[in-house]
Amino acid sequence: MKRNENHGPSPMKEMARVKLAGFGVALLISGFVLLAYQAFSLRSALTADATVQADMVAENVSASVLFDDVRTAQETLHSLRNVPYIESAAIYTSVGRRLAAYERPGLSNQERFEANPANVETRNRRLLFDDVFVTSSIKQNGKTLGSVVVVATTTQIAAELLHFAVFIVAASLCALWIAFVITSRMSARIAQAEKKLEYLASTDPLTGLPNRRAFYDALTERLQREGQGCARAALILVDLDDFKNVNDTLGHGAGDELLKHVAAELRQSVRVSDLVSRIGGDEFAVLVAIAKEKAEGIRTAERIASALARPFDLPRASIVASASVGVSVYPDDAADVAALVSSADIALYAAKSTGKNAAVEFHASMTVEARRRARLETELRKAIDEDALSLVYQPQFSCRTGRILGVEALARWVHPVDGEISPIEFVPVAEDSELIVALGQWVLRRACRDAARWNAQPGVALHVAVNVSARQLRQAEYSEDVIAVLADSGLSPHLLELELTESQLMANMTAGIEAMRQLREAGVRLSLDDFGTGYSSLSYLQSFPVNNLKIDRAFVKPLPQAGQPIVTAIISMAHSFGIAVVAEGVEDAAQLAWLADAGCDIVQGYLTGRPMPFERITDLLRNESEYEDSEPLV
Amino acid sequence: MWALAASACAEMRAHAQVDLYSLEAAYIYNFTEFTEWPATPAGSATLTVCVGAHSPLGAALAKLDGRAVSAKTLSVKPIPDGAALAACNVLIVDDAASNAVTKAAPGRDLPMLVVRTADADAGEGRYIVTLFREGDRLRFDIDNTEAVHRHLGLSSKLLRLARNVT
Repeated sequence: MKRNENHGPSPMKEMARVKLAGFGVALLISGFVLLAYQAFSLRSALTADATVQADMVAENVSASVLFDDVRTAQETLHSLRNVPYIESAAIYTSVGRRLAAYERPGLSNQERFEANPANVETRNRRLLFDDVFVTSSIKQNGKTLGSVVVVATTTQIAAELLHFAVFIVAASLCALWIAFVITSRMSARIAQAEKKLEYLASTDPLTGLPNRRAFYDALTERLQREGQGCARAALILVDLDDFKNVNDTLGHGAGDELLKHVAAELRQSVRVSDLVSRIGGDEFAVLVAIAKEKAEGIRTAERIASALARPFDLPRASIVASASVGVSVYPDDAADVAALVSSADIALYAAKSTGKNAAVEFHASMTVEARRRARLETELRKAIDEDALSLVYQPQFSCRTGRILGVEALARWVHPVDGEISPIEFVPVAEDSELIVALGQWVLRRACRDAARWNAQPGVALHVAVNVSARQLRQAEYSEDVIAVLADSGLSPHLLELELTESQLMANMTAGIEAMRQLREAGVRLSLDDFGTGYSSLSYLQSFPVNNLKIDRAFVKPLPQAGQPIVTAIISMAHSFGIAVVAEGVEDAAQLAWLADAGCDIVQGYLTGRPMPFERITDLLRNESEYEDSEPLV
Repeated sequence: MWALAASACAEMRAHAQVDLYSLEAAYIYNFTEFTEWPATPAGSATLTVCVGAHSPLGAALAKLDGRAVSAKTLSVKPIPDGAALAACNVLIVDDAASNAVTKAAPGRDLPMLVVRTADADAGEGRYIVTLFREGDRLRFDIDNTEAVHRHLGLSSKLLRLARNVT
C-alpha cells in the first residue's frame, strides 16, 4: 500500500477517476439531450408565437386588404416592431401581390424579401437554427383574401440556448466536483475500512502478531517465491508447556500477559525479516530464512526454546514459560506447505513427548511413528468398540496381615497383527484424543463387573483400583457416570478406588475436587498416584478427600540401600493425615521388608504378584480363603 | 368573388381612367361585409341594396346582383316608396331624390346603411358612409353616430380605414 502511494495513483483513486469520467460522460449526454429538447421546444414555442402574431395581423388587415388600403396594412404590420423575434413580415393578396411589408432595420437584402409564401413550405424543413417561417391566411366571412407571412429569427433562441448550455455546463461541473469530493472521501473511507478489516482479519489482537490465516498465506507466498531460488526456510512451531496451568492458577489475565511476553521474546530472538505468528491459543509459529546449512533451523529452535525457558515477570507472579519446539526445514524435510506444517507438527509432538522444554528437529522416521500413532488410534477405537481389550489385575497386599486387599486394573491390548501392544504406547495415544474417555469408561465398567463377581463370594471384600485420566475428570457428568456403572455392576462403592495423579488434579482443580467430593460422598475411595513426582503440595492432602497415597516406583526402586528418608517422610506424613500408603514397584524381598518395617500399609509389585487375568485372581481368592490363617508377608 | 372586386381595385390603381362606378359598387359590396344589421324576425336571406332607378351606379351595382354576402344574397333594387323602404338594407344616395328618402319620415330611422357616392349632387344630409375622391383613390368617411342611430354595427376594421369617423 505504501509503495503504491509513493509510486503512483492508488487503485482506489484510479477507480474514483474512472467513475468520475463515467459521471462526466453521463452528464454530458444528459446535457446534450436537455439542450436538444430545449432547442426543439423553444423553436416550437417560437413557431407558435409567430403564428399567433401572424393570425393577429391577418385578423386585423382583412379590411385593409379588401379596400386595398396599403397605409393601414402597413400600420398594422408596423405594430410588429414591438415583437423582438420577428425579423420581417409581409401581406400578400390572394393573387400573390405584395400589399405591405415590414422589416426589422439592419437586415441584409436577401433577408428583406424572405417573407414570401413560397418560402414557408421549403424553409420550415430546415435546421434548428434557421429562421422560422409561418403564414396565416386573411379571411373575411369565410373568404380568403390573402395571406400574412411572418419570419421569426432564432437569434434569441440561440442566445437562450447558449445561456442554458452555460448553465448546464456549470451545474455539471459543480455536480462533478461534488461527486468527486464525495467519492474520493468515500473511497478513502472504504480503503481505510478495508485496511482495518484486513488488519483485523490477519492479526492476533492480543499479541499484535499475524494470526494463523495470515501466517499460512505468508508461508505459502514465501515458499512459492523461494521455490525458484532454492533457498531454505525453517518452520518452527512453538507450544507453551503447561500454559493451561497458568490460565487456571493465575487467571486468564496472567495467561494473556504471558502470551504477550512470549510474543515479544519470539520477535526478538529472530531477524526482522523472519515471520512470527500466533497460530493458536498457546501455539506460535516462526518462519526463519536459512542462509547456509540446514542445522541453522534446529539452532534457531534451540535458541528460542532457551529464550523462553526463563522466568517472565507478570504483574502478580514470575512464571517460567517453558516451551516445546518443533522444527522442519524446507525443502529438505518437506516439499510443500502442507507437508512442512505437518512435519513441523510431528517434530513438535516429538518434543512434547520427549519431555517438555525441548527443541526437536524433524526426522523422516517421525512420520513413521506419527503414522503408527494415527493407525493405533483408529484401531484402538475399533478395539474398544468391539470389546477387544482385556484387563489384568495386579494384587495389592496388606503389609501387616499379608492378605490380599485389592487389585489394580490394568488394560491390555493384543493387536490382531502387531501382537501385544504395551499400555505405555497405547495409553498416550488415547490420551492425545478423546479416546481416553471411552477407554477409561470401558476399563471402569469391566473392572466393576469383575470385582462384583469376586465380591459375590462369601467373605471376600476385594477393592478394585482404576486409573482415571484428566480428560475423564473434565467430563461434566463424570461422577454420575461412575455411580451409574457401580449401580449397574452391583459393586459396593467403597470397593472401588479411583487413582488420579497430582498433576491431573492440579490441571482440573475446581471440576476435579467437586467430582471427587461427590464420589467420596457416594462412598468411592480415592487414591493419589505417583505421589512425590509432581508438586506434592501438602495443602492438597488437607483439602483433598484422599484415602490412599501411592509412592511412586521411582522412590521404591533404590530401597533399602538409598532413598529411605523420603519414603519415611511420605509414610509418616500420610499417616498423620490419616491416609494409607501404597508402595508400588516392589520387586525384591529386601524392599518389602524395609517397607513393612517403615510402616507402609500396602504393597504392590512383581514380588508379591504380577498383573494377572480375572481367573487367576479368582483362584488366588479361593486359595486364600482355604488358608484362612495365612502368614504375614514378612 | 372577392377576387373580382380586388382585381377591380387593382385595375383602378393601375389605370387612372377606370370606371368610378364599378369601383364604388365594389366598395359598397365590401361595406356590407363589415356591417351588421339588426336581426329581422323573418330572417331574410337577401341583402337588398336600393339605388336610384336611373343612377349610373345602379348599372354597376346590378352586375353584383345575386352575389353572396355573409350567407345572404345581394339583391339590387330601385328605391321603393313609402313603407316598402323597410326592405332596403343599403341605401345609395347619389342625387337629391335619394337624399330626400334619408330625411323623410320612414327612411330617417330605418336600419339602412346609407352610402353617399363621391360625385353625388345631393346637398346636406346624414350618411353613414360618405365616399369621396382623394387623388386617384376612392376614400370614405364614416358617421358612426348615425350607424348607431340606425342600429347598425360597423366593424372596427372598417372604421380604421375611414379618413374621418364621427
